[in-house]
Amino acid sequence: MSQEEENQQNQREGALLSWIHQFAPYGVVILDRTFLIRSWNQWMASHSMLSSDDVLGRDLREIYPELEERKLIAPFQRALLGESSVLSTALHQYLLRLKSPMSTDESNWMRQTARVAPLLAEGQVCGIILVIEDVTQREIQAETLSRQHRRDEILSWALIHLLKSEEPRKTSRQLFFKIAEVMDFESFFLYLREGDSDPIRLYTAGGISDELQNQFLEFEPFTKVPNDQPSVIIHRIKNRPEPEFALLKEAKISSAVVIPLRLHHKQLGSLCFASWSREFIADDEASLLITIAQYLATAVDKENTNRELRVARERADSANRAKDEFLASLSHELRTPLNPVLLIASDASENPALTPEVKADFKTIRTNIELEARLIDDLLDITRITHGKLLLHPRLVDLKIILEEIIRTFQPEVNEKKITLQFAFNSPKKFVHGDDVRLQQIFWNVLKNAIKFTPEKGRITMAVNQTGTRLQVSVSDTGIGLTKEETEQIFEAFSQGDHTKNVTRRFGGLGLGLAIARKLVELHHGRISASSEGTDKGSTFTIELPLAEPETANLSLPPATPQKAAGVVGAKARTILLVEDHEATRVALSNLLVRRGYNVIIAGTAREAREASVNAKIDLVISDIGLPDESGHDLMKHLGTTLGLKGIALTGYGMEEDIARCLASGFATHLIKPVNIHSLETAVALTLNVAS
Amino acid sequence: MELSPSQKDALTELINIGYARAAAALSDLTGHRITLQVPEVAIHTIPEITRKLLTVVHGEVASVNQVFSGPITGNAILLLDREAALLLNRLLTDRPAASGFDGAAREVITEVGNIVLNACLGAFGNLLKVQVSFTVPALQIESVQNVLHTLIIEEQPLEYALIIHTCFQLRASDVSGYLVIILGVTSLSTLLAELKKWEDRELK
Repeated sequence: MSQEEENQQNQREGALLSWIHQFAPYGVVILDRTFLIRSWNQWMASHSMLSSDDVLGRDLREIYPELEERKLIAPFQRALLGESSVLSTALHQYLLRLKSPMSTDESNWMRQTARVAPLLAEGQVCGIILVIEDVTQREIQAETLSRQHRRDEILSWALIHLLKSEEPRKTSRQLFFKIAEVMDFESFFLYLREGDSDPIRLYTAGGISDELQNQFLEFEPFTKVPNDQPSVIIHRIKNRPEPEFALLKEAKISSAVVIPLRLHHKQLGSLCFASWSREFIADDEASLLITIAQYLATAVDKENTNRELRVARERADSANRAKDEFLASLSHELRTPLNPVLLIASDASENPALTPEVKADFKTIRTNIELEARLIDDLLDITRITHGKLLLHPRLVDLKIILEEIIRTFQPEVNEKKITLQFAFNSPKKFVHGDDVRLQQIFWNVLKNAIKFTPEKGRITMAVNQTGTRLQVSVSDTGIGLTKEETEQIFEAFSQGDHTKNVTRRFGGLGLGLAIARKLVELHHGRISASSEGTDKGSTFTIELPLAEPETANLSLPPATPQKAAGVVGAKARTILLVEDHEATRVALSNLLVRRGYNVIIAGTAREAREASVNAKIDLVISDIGLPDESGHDLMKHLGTTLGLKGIALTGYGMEEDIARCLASGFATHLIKPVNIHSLETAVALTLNVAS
Repeated sequence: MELSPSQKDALTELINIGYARAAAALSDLTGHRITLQVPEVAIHTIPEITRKLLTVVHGEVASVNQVFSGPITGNAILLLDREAALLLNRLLTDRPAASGFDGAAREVITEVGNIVLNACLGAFGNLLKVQVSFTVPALQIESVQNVLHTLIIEEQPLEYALIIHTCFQLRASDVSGYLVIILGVTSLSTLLAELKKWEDRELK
């Protein structure tokens, strides 16, 4: 480098130093090895209020003695050993106490990033250079950003919490504690209205003693907010003379913010946060809480609506339950008196000791009692079907066996009316998937109907054919027929077609049978229809049911109706414990059983039954379910487990649950009252045979 | 070139002495007890070290870089992956960065890197009884590939890298990073020779 170039270079370097000294937008200080200030630029002068004349030649530690207290001399000492150091604002706030134009109050010094580095000359440290940058503005921006971030976090947290919660009123406490912590409040108060006309009262509070809480129960400054204001901020409470603020002073609350919970111009309550240390609460804090209060109001309103719905639903459920119970007990009450009458009549009608005239009278009584019982059953069934309460117990069923059984049941009636009944099972497939008892009921009703409306010497044809994937059962008669309107109405409950008008209820009944049949067919995914050429031209009822195929041949099930009792000759000496609280029934049943050669021990209560079971050897228990002291279920459980006894339940209820419960408690079978003597005989014989 | 087990031990011990100073400085600064551990020290060629680092550091990294000069010269880099750097910032300042590496967080990482690098290089200076001077540290946030790429294109013949696995333990958390010191072969030989002497002295 020539002398001239060297001069120019020196000039440039001098100019750089001079620029740094006068214009650099950061502080530059140079110290010698003994910490004496050797250079102090203009930026330093203007931010420290000390001119270079004031400081040059002075020890930096003397001007800023707190450097030593704050352990900040080390970087300077390390610089003397050749190390450079960076001092971040996050860890130190600042290096030298300088005032910042951005700072609002005295304690807020300029935030700085500083570098302390050795000045090297020919490989040796000849001094220390200090570079100071003002980062106050950057820090304020970062804090604003972080506040915004925190605000978003609280809002999303509150929103998720309140939307997810089933009981936002209860669970919001947790939310308020978090808000109080993050937003620097010490206490919170939530006021709510219980019912629409109730006053707004304290629902929950946090960060305040229980004694003080009691004084806040209906604290007006926390519950009343003028309608045109979204919030009320109470600043500097210690300087407020108003008497209503005395309680706040007592609670050491220095400022508070109150936000009404409003929805559709209705105030549901209010939310309040209070500080013990802060004199002021900023508007943006209130606006954040207003948003949370809106979420809360929506959630509380939703909870109120849900609660009302739940109460209404519970009320409806309990009304329904009451109705079901009423129906069950009505059925019981209606059936119980029929029981002894039926037993006596059915026994007497076949008593060879009586004259044919008397037997015929008893038979009439029996037929009518059975009809009465059937009517009660129908009424119960239609009610259950209407309420969707009828449960099917489906299994694979051989329809041919069912139909043959039904025809057998009606044979005496058919013979009596001299009706020709033809049955043709033309389908190669015979299985359907269904509830055997209910399937019987369907065909019983349809056939009963045909017999009822077919005159003497008429003809009824039952034919079964396969149509695609269905079995079609058609029942045709030569009866009184149907008009076109009737073919549509006949399956409606309480309808017997126009016959009732014309024929003055000649045919009896409530007209429920076909309505029940249709509902049951539909429950089996089938169809039922009626057709007729017209009045007095006979009618045809057609029932279609989906076919089912048994997986193996041995799945074909035994007939659903009990087989005719096998001889009970060997059973003559058996002892039956009869438990029944209805005296007339008990006496009638007992007489019948004794007449059939059984030894009968009678009991009116479960207690008597238990005693009797200890004292005598018993082969079979026949017990009522509704006993005065204990249920028949419990009695059966006891007798079954302690003595291994078999039992037959007598139920008046006829509800699905009762039947299932009978089997569960150990009864081998059950009979619905009024009990027909034949079914009783069959049940006793079967149970005893199984038992032996 | 590989370090013998005894060289490894001696180097680990030497760096631990420097780290003890750095840990004390950091504990003082933050009011939390901080320790610095050296689980592993190794020497590699530059291409080797890039391969090795790629397997242990991923994605974006914060690197604090200080050039040093004197009787030994080279470049010292503290590498922390993004999560480690942000966690370290949060643990030290109690304040999460509002948006990734904001200005304050960058400074904190720079200051911590500066303290650790100074401690390590200072320990070398003491060992060699020479003055090593360092530039003011520079922080960069970039992908690990970029950092390694820079190392490779600036590679001088016969350069080695001393890699020091570094683990900060504070407030029940571990933050781990790597300190990489790039040295010319002459500097490395000087360092290892002095290390041997120091070891012998210490053992006497």
